[in-house]
Amino acid sequence: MRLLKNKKGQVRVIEAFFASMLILSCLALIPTQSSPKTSALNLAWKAQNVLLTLDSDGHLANLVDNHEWTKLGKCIESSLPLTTWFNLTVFDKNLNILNDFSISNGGSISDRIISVDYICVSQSSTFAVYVLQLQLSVMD
Amino acid sequence: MPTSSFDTFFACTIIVTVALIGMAFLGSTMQTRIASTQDINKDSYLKAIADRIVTNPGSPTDWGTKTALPVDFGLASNFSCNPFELDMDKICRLNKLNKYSLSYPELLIASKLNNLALGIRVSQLITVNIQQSNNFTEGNVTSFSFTISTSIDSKPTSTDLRSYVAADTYLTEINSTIPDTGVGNITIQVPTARIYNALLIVFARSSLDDRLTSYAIYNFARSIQESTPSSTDLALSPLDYTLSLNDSSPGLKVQDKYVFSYSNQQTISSNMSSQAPFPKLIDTSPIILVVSFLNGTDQFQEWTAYPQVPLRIGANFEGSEQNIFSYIVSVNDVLFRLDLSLGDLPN
Repeated sequence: MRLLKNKKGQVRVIEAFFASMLILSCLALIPTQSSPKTSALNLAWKAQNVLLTLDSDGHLANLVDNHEWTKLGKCIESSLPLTTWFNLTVFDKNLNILNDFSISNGGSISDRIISVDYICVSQSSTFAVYVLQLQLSVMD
Repeated sequence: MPTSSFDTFFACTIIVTVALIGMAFLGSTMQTRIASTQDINKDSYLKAIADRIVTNPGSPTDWGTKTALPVDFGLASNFSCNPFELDMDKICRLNKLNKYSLSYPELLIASKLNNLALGIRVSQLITVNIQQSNNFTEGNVTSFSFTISTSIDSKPTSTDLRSYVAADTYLTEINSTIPDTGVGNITIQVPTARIYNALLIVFARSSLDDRLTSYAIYNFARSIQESTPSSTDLALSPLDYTLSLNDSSPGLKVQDKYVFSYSNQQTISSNMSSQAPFPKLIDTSPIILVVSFLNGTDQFQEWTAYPQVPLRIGANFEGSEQNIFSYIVSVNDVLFRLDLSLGDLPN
């Protein structure tokens, strides 16, 4: 009976409860992984490798010159693994989009998309400058 | 004991428990984060090693054309501006079928990777499959029908085909096209007396880019497609546009030598039998070299590719960690896939 009547310690339990809630709230606010994943780094390297190699003889710039978007897309697709999604956007030197339809192999398969910009120069007499933006993603 | 003491004890227990759970949670989160950072560092480190092998010509820079071992290992072409242009002869020296090839220990010493497993695989981008579907003999001639499929990374692809039949002195050429379905048929005639010694050489070129050109060889005598030469009696070793062959074995007598590419086919005219220079064909295509020879009274044909691709050298990584870095590379203006594998870092 004496224990039930004595309510002095209840405040401490409430304090402890609030303190626990405070600690748990702090833990919940710890930032999740913010550094880039290994696969994202590899994808960026992959994109650079593909663009540099395909354009080593000016092939990509020639395709852009002739607005051969389907061929350009197939070229990129043939150089990437089957499980890699890509989307290519071609800009002129004023960053106006040149391709009048999407150059990609379907819808993105992941939220983690890397983007690489590549500048290529036409080998024709106009020496037009293009910016190719290649976005890649793989299944998580 | 007063009631407040029980309550205080109870409150402290709750706080200590939550603090312990919090520390455990924090510890595991930090551990995951540290491990992830280590993984990124390891990956960047290994990638830098792989990049160095691919983009550095090594030392001496022309070690591919020499027979000596390189002091420093690198596969890049000596004169190229393209960072992913590899040297054709350096690639050949990785193939164990080449008599000047590097062994795995020599490769590790030259690359200075004493505690790290290394593996290199070079393959063609277009996969060409040749399947004999039918044959019939009429008079002195046998007709063969083949189903040929072409794909890039398992995706069917349309290609232009240039096929050659080489059967001693009998040479013929067939052109055809593989549609978007990636499957096509060709029919060829071969003198029946020459079948036992005939080779079908197929070059497939993508309509997207001339540099996407691959080859495949079909051996009529064995009725199979060969990815590497089945006969190695002559030990054909191309290097620096010179074909070295071993004709010193008793009973071996070299007869004709031919060079094939997608657009060209020539007879190699050389009086020197063991070292035969062959022409630098102006063509974005792998080169196939065929030598016919007599072994005793039997006639044979042996072939090799230049560059000698596909190839695989190094550790097999069975049961161990393998970090693969895949590149699209250009070798003599033809695109290939290079997979460079590195093992786990020593602790």
